[in-house]
Amino acid sequence: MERDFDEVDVSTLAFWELGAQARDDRLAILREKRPVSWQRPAEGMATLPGRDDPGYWAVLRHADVVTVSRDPETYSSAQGFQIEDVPEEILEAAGSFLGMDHPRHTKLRRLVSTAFSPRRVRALEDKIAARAGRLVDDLLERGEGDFVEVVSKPLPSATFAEMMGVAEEDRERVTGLANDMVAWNDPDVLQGRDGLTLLMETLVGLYAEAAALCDRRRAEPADDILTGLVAAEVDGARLSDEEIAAFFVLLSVAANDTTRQTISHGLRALCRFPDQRALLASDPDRHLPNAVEEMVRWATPVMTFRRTATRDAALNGTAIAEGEKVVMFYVSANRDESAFPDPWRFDITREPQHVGFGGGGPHFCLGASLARSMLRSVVRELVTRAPTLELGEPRFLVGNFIQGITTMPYRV
Amino acid sequence: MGAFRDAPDVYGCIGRIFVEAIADPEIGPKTREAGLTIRFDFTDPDSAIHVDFARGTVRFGDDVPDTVPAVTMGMRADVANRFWLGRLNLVMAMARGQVRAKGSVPEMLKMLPLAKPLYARYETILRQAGRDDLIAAAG
Repeated sequence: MERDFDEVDVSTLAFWELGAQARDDRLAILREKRPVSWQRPAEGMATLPGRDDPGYWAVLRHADVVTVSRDPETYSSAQGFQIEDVPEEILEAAGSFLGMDHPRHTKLRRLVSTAFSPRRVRALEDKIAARAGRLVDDLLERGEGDFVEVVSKPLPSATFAEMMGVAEEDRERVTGLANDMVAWNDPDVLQGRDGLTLLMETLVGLYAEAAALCDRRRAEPADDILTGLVAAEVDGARLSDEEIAAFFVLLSVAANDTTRQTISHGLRALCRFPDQRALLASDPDRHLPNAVEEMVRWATPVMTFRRTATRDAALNGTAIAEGEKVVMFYVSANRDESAFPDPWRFDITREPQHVGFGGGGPHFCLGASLARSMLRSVVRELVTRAPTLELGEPRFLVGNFIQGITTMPYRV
Repeated sequence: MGAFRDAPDVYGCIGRIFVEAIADPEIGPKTREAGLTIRFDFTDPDSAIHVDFARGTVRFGDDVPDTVPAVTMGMRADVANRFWLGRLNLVMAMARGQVRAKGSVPEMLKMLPLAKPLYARYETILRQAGRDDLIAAAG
């Protein structure tokens, strides 16, 4: 069906480069007036030129994001999950169960879900807290530097690597590849390459790590996720190395490109709202759980995910036709005035029912408990031991997927 | 020892799928539109294929031109056989060093979806040529 694109355009890269608040000024207009709007195809470097892409529905309100998330039968994940029309070959290689529907999604996700259960995460808590403590020791000792490199990046990187079974000497490389993979629209990371070349290079790099890890874990099983995957069976068949590699790519991106951002955005928010920082420091035990949720809302590390309608549907009064793309703007839903009064106020006493881990349903963030645990540990260390921490102007990642801070100077 | 007997054997099987793709009333126009030039350097047996989809030419061995194509791919001939039977994951093959690719990734990605509908055709080529051994060799 031919229809006009909304005059409030949220598809250009220039829009995504606006900065969070200026971007939200535009999103707020749509949230109020046309919460489900038809948008022209998303601009971006992960799309092959000349592809036939009619556009997509932008879903901006909190309640609608929740509706889409919880209705996977109408809104499928199996026909792409990025706002851009990423080539199928790349999605298949990188997405694993993120890009699947029930029953395959359920079966594959189940293989790793126990490793991320609240019970298993509780067992890791002491280790995570000790690691967070060491990172803050390092931060204090250095006195100044790049907060991302010193604190935000290493905590999830090491936690993931250990759970997955990545050897110490390979960790930095894996984290670097995972970080680069989501930067396909960022000229600083691209360094003259096009986005698809970057995606392919990082994919091949992560596949090489996964392949080596598969070989190693078949020979020497250990207590890690990779060992579980090489031994696992689905429908009576072992997983292929390709399937395990896709798992590896998905989990390394999910682990390395999300919590890292929440730590950076969260601490930046504490610096910008000193009253909230003081309140948190006054009684961390009491305020930490809520503060962490508010940080996830505030940061919204994953800004967009896409679904595709499997049948004609109505969403908040808008008719959606079978086959049309539906993009959830978590970045907008987490600033929805109807769900969060005064949404641009960072308030650790609100109990935000945010969509920072997704809007519920079968694709809800698998690592949510783990992320919360890391955030609680590192924020506790920082507010209690680094009361003079100051953060300078960050550099933001360019793109429509991850709300990233690539560097941010600090001083104590 | 590879699955193919010699270079002409490679051209008769893998070379032929390119010739048929270009001649195909449905796929041919799409490959022309994509307009890729690609060169394959095979080992075991040593052989080379150059395809210019815009012009619709497929050249073998000594006839391969010196010009630099948009994409060059190097692999063992039996790896290419597995690809055309739909039994090769290209990303993993690149990660394991079984396939080396040089040149434009977007151009390569443009062509890949066009290869998929040809897997069955390639299998038919092999069967008609009495080369069930190549199908078996692909695992």
